[in-house]
Amino acid sequence: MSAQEWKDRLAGTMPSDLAEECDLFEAQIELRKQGKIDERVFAETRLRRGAYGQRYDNGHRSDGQTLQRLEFPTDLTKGPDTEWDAPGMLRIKIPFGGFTPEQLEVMADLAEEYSDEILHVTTRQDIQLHFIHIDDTPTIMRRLAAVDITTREACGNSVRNVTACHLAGVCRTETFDVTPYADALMRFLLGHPDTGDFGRKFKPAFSGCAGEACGLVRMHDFGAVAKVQDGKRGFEIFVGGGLGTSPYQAKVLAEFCPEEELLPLVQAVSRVFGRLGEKTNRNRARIKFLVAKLGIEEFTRLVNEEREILPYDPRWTAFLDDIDRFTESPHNRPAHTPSADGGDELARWRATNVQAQRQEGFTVVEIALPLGDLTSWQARRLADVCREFVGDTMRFTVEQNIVLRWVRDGDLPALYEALAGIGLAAAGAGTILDVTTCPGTDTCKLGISSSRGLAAELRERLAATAYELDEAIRGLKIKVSGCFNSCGQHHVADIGFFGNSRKIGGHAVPHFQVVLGGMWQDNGGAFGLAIGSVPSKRIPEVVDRITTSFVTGRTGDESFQEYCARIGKKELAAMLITELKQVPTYEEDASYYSDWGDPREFSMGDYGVGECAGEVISRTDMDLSVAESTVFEASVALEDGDLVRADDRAYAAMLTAARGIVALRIPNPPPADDDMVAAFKAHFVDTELFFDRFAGGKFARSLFSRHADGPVSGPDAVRELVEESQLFLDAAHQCQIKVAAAAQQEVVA
Amino acid sequence: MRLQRVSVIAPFANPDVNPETFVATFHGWVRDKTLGGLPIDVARYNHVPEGPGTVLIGFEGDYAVETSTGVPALRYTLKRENQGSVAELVSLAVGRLQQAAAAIASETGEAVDLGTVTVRIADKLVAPNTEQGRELVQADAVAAVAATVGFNDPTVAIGTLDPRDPITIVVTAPGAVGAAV
Repeated sequence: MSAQEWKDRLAGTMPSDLAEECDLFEAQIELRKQGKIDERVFAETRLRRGAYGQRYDNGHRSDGQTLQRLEFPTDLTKGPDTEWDAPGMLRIKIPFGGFTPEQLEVMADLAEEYSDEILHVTTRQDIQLHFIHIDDTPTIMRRLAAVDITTREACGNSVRNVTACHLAGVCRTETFDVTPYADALMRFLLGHPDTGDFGRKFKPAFSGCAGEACGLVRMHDFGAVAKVQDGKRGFEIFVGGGLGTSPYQAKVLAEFCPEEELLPLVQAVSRVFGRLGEKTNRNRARIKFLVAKLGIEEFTRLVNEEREILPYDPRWTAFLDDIDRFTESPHNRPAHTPSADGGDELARWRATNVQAQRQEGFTVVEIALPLGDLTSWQARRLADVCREFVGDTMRFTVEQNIVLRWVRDGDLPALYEALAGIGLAAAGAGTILDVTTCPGTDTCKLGISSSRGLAAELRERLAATAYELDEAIRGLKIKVSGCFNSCGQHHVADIGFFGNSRKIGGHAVPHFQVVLGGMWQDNGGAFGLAIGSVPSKRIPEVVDRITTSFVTGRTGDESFQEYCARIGKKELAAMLITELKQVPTYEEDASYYSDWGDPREFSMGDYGVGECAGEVISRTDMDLSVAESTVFEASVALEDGDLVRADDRAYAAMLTAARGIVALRIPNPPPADDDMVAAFKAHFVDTELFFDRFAGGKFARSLFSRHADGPVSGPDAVRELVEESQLFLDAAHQCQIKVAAAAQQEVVA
Repeated sequence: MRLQRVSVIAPFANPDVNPETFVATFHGWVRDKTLGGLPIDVARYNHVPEGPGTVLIGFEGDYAVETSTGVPALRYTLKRENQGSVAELVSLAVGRLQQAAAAIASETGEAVDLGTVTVRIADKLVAPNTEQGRELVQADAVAAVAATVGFNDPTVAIGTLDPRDPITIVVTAPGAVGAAV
């Protein structure tokens, strides 16, 4: 078999630890096939090696009308409800986004031989290959290991890819090059025993300066910003940031951490997180919840206490002796002459895709990849371009692009020509055209709406008018996520969207929540305002309205964030989306009932169970998220004076939240509202689980009264109900935490 | 012999065919299991120039309306059914391509020109794109295409000599032009 032949062929070329990892995983695959490893254990095992599930791997797919069974050849599973033969995704970690032409060529081969000839760049500088068979993964891992790449801990409850600014080392605003530190931290934490007991994933990031966006440290679990104090290198350390359903800005853990203390500090953080982080309720298990629960002062105290008792490890400082290894120098080769004048296209490309390096005479060129994709054929030619023009330095960006550094200024026309020859010279990198998106419903089990479909549509429409766009909006960022989990990083976009759905006339309609005014600068310094959900098919109109209103309504040099803050959430919603929320009936216009790029009637029927960090995204979390949106709709309706709708939405929000809470005890809550409310009362109110320390059962009574007595009327009564629905939702979150804590105590007992 | 990926590609008679328009066709094939086997989903890569286009992802293999040869073409790629002689694998792939071409002609009216069939073999281990690798597969691949499509005395060209690329053999029967399905 070719797996054995590849193993023999590559023997001696792989780092021994990576080779052992591949052997171990191959053995575990064999044991699973023999039924000697439980499917749950195997699931976590493969996740920790980057082998992730993919949509429809539970053997079901909606064809728009019915849920069809996909009859895979074997009954074997690779996890709960995850069929062995179903295609999966493999995530390849690229620390700090840095890679060589040789590594790119190997990834191109793998995409061609095991995937669909597409290399997909993620928002965390990884590469993802889709439609992979699990049987092929050990060979893929060996071929990667032979060029010093690992998929280890690319998924699962582990330390994920260490990201860093793609300009590190050549940036004009950086304090110093963070590359060696990102590399050292990655190597130090990979497989470290102190990271083995995390309840959830842990994402580190580095940035060379505080003001730019590239490192996005403020939205990471652990972030380090380069800083020099008294002539000494070190970092300002952030901890506890994250996106997802509950976005948190990271807190400052240390104003200045000297470089030799970086690794012991992250080790101490890992120990505290591993020891005190939530383990049972995985929806509250990211470090951001621990930091919020303890408070940053107490968390810092615990970390410092832990640091004091850490046994000395020579690796803490060994890397500092080898730091020059990462110093890059220009490629020594003769200058290039283009064969043709690039004309206007070259000028446009230069305006958006090229920026000066810190080193005089050299520039950084950003290659805009549509939806983060490039083909194997393009990848090989890009490797050639890299060798010819810059040597061996390329980096992926968190905006799903690739940068070439150390391009000689005089070579730009020739480089443009070379890139144009392989379809990689599109202008507009980093502009409103360059829409970032997660995989969404294309391949993700958790995707609700088609983020890639929407991104492709927006890209195409905006490209058609790209050169007529007002300067004020050309630089805005659009980012799209297929669900609330934020892989598209919509919270830090000027214009963000995340997928959800609404039931209208018995049919599901794909929608996107509109999030405005997030801040990309300052390392993702502020999150945007959610202003409401709009049918997916009307999102291009939303973008038109937003951009037009900004161009016509901004005052002076007002930024988009300032503009959004000045206008306010309610007015933005009224001005931009209220009218667009209307959905024609299915009979009037069925196109609203399918998603972008997918002619099937939209359905949540093939929505799967997430494997994010090896855990289940619970029904409760889903319902509470929907309830959040519904409460918001109630508050907007109230402000609009639509009391009937405000009453209806407030009640619906409480019902949805209650249903989510009931799911903590009854996996499939009763569909009828009466039965569900009765179950809620029996399991959570009579037992005093849904009780506030001070208010007692008051919040539950809001639901019971509205359910028993019907709609309320009059402005005061409706306002009170809307406020109560928000309190009910808060109480639901508290109840969820309480139930999880009780479960954890039971486990401990 | 096991070859990791064996693809066969034939251009559409109409060079203006838009791969995006086949998204609905392929979803229908998944729903109705039009061509047998286990169809799984439809992937869209039409934003990538000269790429895989619109792909019907299957378990045994993938169908695609793509542009990797520079023109819109129909492609079938063997994935899991990849054990056998070169001739067996290429014949199997061409047979599936013919089936798909017939279904497309019937559903959309677009004809696939089976007068030119490109065979692409992606397997760096068993069949690298070297002289030796091509020698291993070329004669059998050409014979299999000729026998399955019904070519007499076909013309053969090598698509690329870059050893990093997959083996690419273009088999053309001038007399067969116009014999589109």
